[in-house]
This record gives sequence, C-alpha cells and structure tokens, in this order.
Amino acid sequence: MSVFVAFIFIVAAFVCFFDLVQPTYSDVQTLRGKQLGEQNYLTSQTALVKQVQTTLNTYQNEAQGAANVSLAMPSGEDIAGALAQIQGIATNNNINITGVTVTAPEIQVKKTGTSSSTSPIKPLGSFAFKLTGSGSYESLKNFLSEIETNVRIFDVETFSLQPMTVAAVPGSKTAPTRDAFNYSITVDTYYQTQ
Amino acid sequence: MALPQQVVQQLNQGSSRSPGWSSGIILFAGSIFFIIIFIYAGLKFGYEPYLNSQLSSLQGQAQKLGQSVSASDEASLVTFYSQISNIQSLIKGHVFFSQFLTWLEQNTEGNIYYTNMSFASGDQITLSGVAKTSADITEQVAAFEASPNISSVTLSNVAFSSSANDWTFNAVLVLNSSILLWTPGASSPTVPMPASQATTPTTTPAATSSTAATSTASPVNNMPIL
Repeated sequence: MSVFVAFIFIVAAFVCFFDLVQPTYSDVQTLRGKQLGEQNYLTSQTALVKQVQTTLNTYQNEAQGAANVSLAMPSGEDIAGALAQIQGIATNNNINITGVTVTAPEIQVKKTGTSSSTSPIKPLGSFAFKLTGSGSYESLKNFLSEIETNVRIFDVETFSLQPMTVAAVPGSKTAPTRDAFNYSITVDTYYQTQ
Repeated sequence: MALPQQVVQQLNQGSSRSPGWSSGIILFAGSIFFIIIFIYAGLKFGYEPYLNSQLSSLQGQAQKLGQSVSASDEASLVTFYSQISNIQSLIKGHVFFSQFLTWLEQNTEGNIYYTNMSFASGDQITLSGVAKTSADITEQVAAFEASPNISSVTLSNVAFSSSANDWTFNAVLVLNSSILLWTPGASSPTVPMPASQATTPTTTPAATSSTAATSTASPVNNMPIL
C-alpha cells in the first residue's frame, strides 16, 4: 500500500513538473528576456535622451550660431532674401543687374548623398538665379568673390563674359568699350526642406 | 524442531523494519511532489508577477522618457542637424570661380588678352583671345599645359587678322577641381551676417582684394586681362 502511495506521489510529481513547472518556467524565461531587452532599451534611450538634451541645451544657448546656420541654410526657400543679398552685393560693387530669372525650387538628393529613408537628415532644396548685367572687370571679380563668400551659400554654375560693345557713331560698326563687360551668371542657392 | 533463538531474533528485527522503510519511501516521494508544487507556486504566483510588474515599470519609464523631449524640440534638433550636415556637404563642393580669374591673370602671357570667356559644365572654360604673334599663343598654351590646375587644353580657330595685325584664337580648358574648390587655410570663406543686415550681404575683406593686372594696355579696349 505504501509503495502504491509513493508511486502515486512520484507520478503526480512528474505530471506537475512537465505540465505545470516546465511551461511556467518557459514563460518566466520569456519574461526575463523581455525584461532584459526593455532594460537595455531603457539604458540606451536614457543615454540618448541625455545626449539629446545636452545638444538641445547647447543649441538653445548658442542662439547666434544657430542663427548663422539658418542664414547659410534657411529653413524654407526665402527667395526674396537671397535676391536681396545678390542685389546688395551688386550695388556694393557697382554692378548693374539688367535681368534676373529664378528657376523653380527643387529637392536636391544627389549633392548630399545622405538622404535615404533611414537617414534623419532632411534633403536640401535648391533653386538658381540667372543674372545678366554689366560692369567693370574688377567690379565683376569682386562681385563674384563676394557672392562666393556670402553667408548664404551661392555656387556659381555658369559664367560668361563679353566686352560691352557700343557704336561710336550711330549706324556705324560697334566697337568694344574700355573695361566694361556684359556678363551672364547662374548661381545655385540652397535651403533646408521641412 | 524449534528454530534457534538467534534466527528468531533476526526475523523479529526484519519484520519491525518493514513499516519504517515504507514510510520513508512515501516521505521521499511526497517530498519530491511537494517540492515541485512549491517550485511551481513560486514561479507562478511569485516570480512571474514580479517580472510582469518589473516589465510594466520599465515600459512606463521608457514611455515617460520618450515624452521628456518634446516633438517641437525634436523637430528643431533634426532640422538643425540637417542644416549642419547639408552645409558640410555643400562646402566640400563649393565653387570659388573668382580663384580661377586670379589664377588666369597670373598665368596669362603679356602679349595676350581675352575677349570672351564662359564657364559651364562644372569644369570647362571657353576662352577667346587675341595675341600679338603666333609664338605668344604657343607660349600661352604651353603655360596652360604646364599648370597642374588644368587637366586638358584644346586650341582652335587660330587665325591671323591682317586688318588688326594680330592673331585670334579659341581655347577650351578643362579645370581640375582643386582650382575651383575652397581649400582650408586659403581664405576665410564665410562671415556671419547679423540678422539686422539681412538685406545687406557681407563678404570677407581678403576676398575683395584685387589682383594687379599683368598685361599691358590693350589696343582694343584696355582690359586688364580680358
């Protein structure tokens, strides 16, 4: 009788082990895995958020730097601002602008090479100014130099220069004037897309 | 025949051990059973709820952490980062065409001046020029070819003009990118502009310094180089 009772206990122990303990242990292992995953995630996120907050504080404290960055790469097209800068540079250098054409803004992807679905970097937008005008060689050179070193980025894409010709006598053959040129310049400028 | 006394004692002892052995085996089996039940109960009603509560707590902390940076701050930071990164990329390929003009002034023969110039395709310069003699043109082409800033020179339409008593020519230069790109230390490329002067552009003083003309007065239009 006692052997039978012991046998029953052993069988019940086996049944309990395989039907109750093992599935529960498996669940607990899964939970531990999740907990460790969450713990690691939380640790990395905490470090990341700390870094973001430090960067944000720096960004907010360096308002002038951020403003300069926004001048070089405005958030939005700001065509009027770019045109005003070009006209200001032309006026400073005695360049007479006779024509301006602005191309339609477009999103640039190839220049940065970093825009992708996974990259947090927003793509660049760009548009071009096609300028025609006249002025002396030195003025034109200074104008170009100032355009190139202006705080807002302008890239010279095309440039052409011809001597300005005038007719000495109305109806006669035209002749080049002294140190006066007609020019045509295309400059690209950029903005940060939102 | 009666059994010996010693054998009778041994038999009595053996029969008295039998109940102890059976209770021992029941105790052993029962202990195993109850230990397993105890382990199960510990896992099911102790450790598993504890882990669940820990998990919920961690998830709550992670959620709270996610809300610690506001969406507007996050957006402004991403925009700022994009601006910096894009500016960095643009600066690498920023074209300084005026550097080429300075270089051209310094590398033009005295008896040559240019009448037309165009720049396109990122690296191609087309020049129309006038020389006193054909030897001047040869020297000029040799100077272009010797320069590390020019990767190729194509000369065309070389002709003598008897009316002006000079030679005209066209040249197509393919530039190396080094002459058009800003090199650190060469000059300061940017000057921050105060917001109050948003409509008045600024430049570096160094960039506006003019280079002395190298050619003599032209009989046509007295252009320094062009």
